[in-house]
Amino acid sequence: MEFRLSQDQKDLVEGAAAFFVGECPPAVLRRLEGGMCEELWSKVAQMGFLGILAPEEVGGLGLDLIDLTLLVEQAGRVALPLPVVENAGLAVPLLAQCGESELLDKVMSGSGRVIVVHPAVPFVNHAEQACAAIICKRERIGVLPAAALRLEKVNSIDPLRSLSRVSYDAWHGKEVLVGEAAGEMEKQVFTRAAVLTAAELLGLAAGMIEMATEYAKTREQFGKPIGSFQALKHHLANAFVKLEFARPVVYRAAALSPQTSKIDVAVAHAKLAAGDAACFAAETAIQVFGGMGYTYEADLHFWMKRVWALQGLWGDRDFHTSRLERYVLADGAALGPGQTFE
Amino acid sequence: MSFDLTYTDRQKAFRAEVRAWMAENVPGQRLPSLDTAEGFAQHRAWERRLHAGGWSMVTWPRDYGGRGCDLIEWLIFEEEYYRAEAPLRVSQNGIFLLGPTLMEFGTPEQKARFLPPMANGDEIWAQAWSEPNAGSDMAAIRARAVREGDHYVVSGQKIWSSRAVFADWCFGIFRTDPASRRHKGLSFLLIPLSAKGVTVRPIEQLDGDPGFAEIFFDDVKVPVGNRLGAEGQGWSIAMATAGFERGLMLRSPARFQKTAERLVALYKSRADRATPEAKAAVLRAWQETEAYCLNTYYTASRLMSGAAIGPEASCNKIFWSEMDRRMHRAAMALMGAFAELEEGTPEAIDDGRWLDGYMFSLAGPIYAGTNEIQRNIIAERCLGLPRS
Ligand SMILES: Cc1cc2nc3c(=O)[nH]c(=O)nc-3n(C[C@H](O)[C@H](O)[C@H](O)COP(=O)(O)OP(=O)(O)OC[C@H]3O[C@@H](n4cnc5c(N)ncnc54)[C@H](O)[C@@H]3O)c2cc1C
Repeated sequence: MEFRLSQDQKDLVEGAAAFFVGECPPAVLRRLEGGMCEELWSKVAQMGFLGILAPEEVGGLGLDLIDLTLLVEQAGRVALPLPVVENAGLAVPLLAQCGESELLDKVMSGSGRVIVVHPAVPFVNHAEQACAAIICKRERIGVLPAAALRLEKVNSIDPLRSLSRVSYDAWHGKEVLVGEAAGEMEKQVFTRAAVLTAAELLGLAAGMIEMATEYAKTREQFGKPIGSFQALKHHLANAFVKLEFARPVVYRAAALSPQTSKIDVAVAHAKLAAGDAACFAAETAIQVFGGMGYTYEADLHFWMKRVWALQGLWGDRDFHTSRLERYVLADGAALGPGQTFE
Repeated sequence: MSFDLTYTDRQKAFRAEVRAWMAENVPGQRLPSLDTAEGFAQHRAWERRLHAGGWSMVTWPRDYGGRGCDLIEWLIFEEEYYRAEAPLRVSQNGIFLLGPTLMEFGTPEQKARFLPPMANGDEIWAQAWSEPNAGSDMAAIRARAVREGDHYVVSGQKIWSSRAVFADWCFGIFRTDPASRRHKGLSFLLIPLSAKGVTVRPIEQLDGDPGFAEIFFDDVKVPVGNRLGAEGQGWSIAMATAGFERGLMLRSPARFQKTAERLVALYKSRADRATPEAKAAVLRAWQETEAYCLNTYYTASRLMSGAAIGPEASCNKIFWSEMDRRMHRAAMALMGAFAELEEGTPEAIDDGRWLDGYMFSLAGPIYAGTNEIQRNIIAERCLGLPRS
């Protein structure tokens, strides 16, 4: 039993934090609005971030989901407007496993992006510039070239998401997995996506708490920084506590192997806990910012809107709550002390 | 490998050993409340039995009656302890709070003198911090200890001292420098409650039992050797003790996981009252106790690799106390008209334990430093917000 970050992981977190803060300050978010920052994308690729989950033999870093979770958490802290989860988290391991080396190289090097079309997500982010799509269905997984896709734009409240409804007429592409293996893979894609989305939510929560704390130190009313008033201190402390207790829940889900019997409930718990922490942090932050928080001028809105978007993705609250319920209320459920780990 | 969320074979064997011992030894019947003379005596007998089995305080060194276990083993022990529904620890102030403080700040003589009888239940400790005008503002304490040669003369009053009515000793901080103010000039003293000049006046708690007390010191002679740490160092030692209290030791996750498990069972047994709110509360209880457990293992792993626990201990205290209150409130709602029935009433669900638990859960956000004070600490020390 060992449940902590290694020195390598701490270094990864530190490096990623410095990189994201440096490369993606709020000014970049403002400039982008709806577009895709190709320059930032290739920098992310150069850092090796997109190949975290790919084995070293194919040019990846050969790390695991926990490492990517830590990275995505840091991406969330700056509200990074890039489809890292979709590419590094979903497409890359899938392509590596299916031996799609050409596409894999493209994605890892940053010269091409792939979207993942999965039944759990009705609208796809950044589909316009994708060079290919991975289509996940229960019984088959295949790769379609971008030309075979039809995209219809839909608008998200998050100005940094660029959403489309994706459809295709026929199966022009190549099937890479069929039958049981495809079903298994589809489930794994969902699991990884839900965990990474939870990680991004953690990061968003942390970012908003930091932003609101900084504001509370400088904004003055009644001749003092508003952060010296206990009412605000307690709001922020509550948000901090929620985040602190959501983090290990997400890390645990990331650390479980997809074959573990408890994986579904651990992931449901992670998504719910991170979602709650992020919503709470958003509501707290806007309250701390006061009128300023209700404007488009304050950067806060980028973070809040991402939270709203991610809440419903990869299993919404109802979905994950009912998974949890099935587990907790089952006859003979293994609850109580000593059941958390195996 | 830094993330390995499975127990080693050694840890599994340790769990099996604890489980077997608990199965043999845990009293079949719930003991009377430890806030009554009879209950206290029975709990003391249980402490002695635990000690005889070598389970009194597993993390302590063997020399002091422990097993030298690490924090993960301690958590496993606690899980088996609560799983077996073993009695609450009447010696908790000693073993969880003063014990670790003594190990850190005590002289070899003090450790040898105080730790063994603390472990075996011969000497049970009360905390004497609060005073009538120094509750949340603990630095305002006035009880004095005036140095006269090789002893101090202690006078003043403490209040809300849990189990002082039946305990043998108390520890707390006293003003040894009469000219000092606030955090300075305080010293940490260990005082027998049987000493001449000590009067303990019971205070009835919500349930009517004498769960805490006022302690009056009327020129009590306390040898200088009963001072822990240097003269004037009392505040920082007291803060270390408070850290143990808010941090890991006072409330291990198992206790709450047991409550959540019981709440699920209660919910299932009250199908007719299973409202959507009740269901949501039950699911929340499971999620929160699980999160608390994960957080504790996460912290324990960090501590074992050399990290120190900081002001985030305050997060713990807020989290467990408010979760415990919510779980008990949910149980009260599920019981409806049966909620008011006291222990001993034939119709009382679970023999009135939820009611007891609910009352006690209301104290969680107050003792060990109120949650308002903890929030101030988090805001100022974790987030760096300016002081009021
Ligand atoms: C069951 C139980 C067991 C206890 N056991 C012990 C024991 O064994 N030994 C011992 O020494 N003490 C013990 N205590 C005492 C406990 O530590 C104190 O009650 C606690 O520290 C609060 O102090 P107070 O009661 O004087 O309340 P007060 O300090 O008067 O506080 C009253 C209210 O005001 C709030 N408040 C006060 N100051 C501030 C501030 N600066 N900012 C915001 N809000 C504030 C508090 O949070 C609280 O809500 C126990 C208490 C209980 C309930």
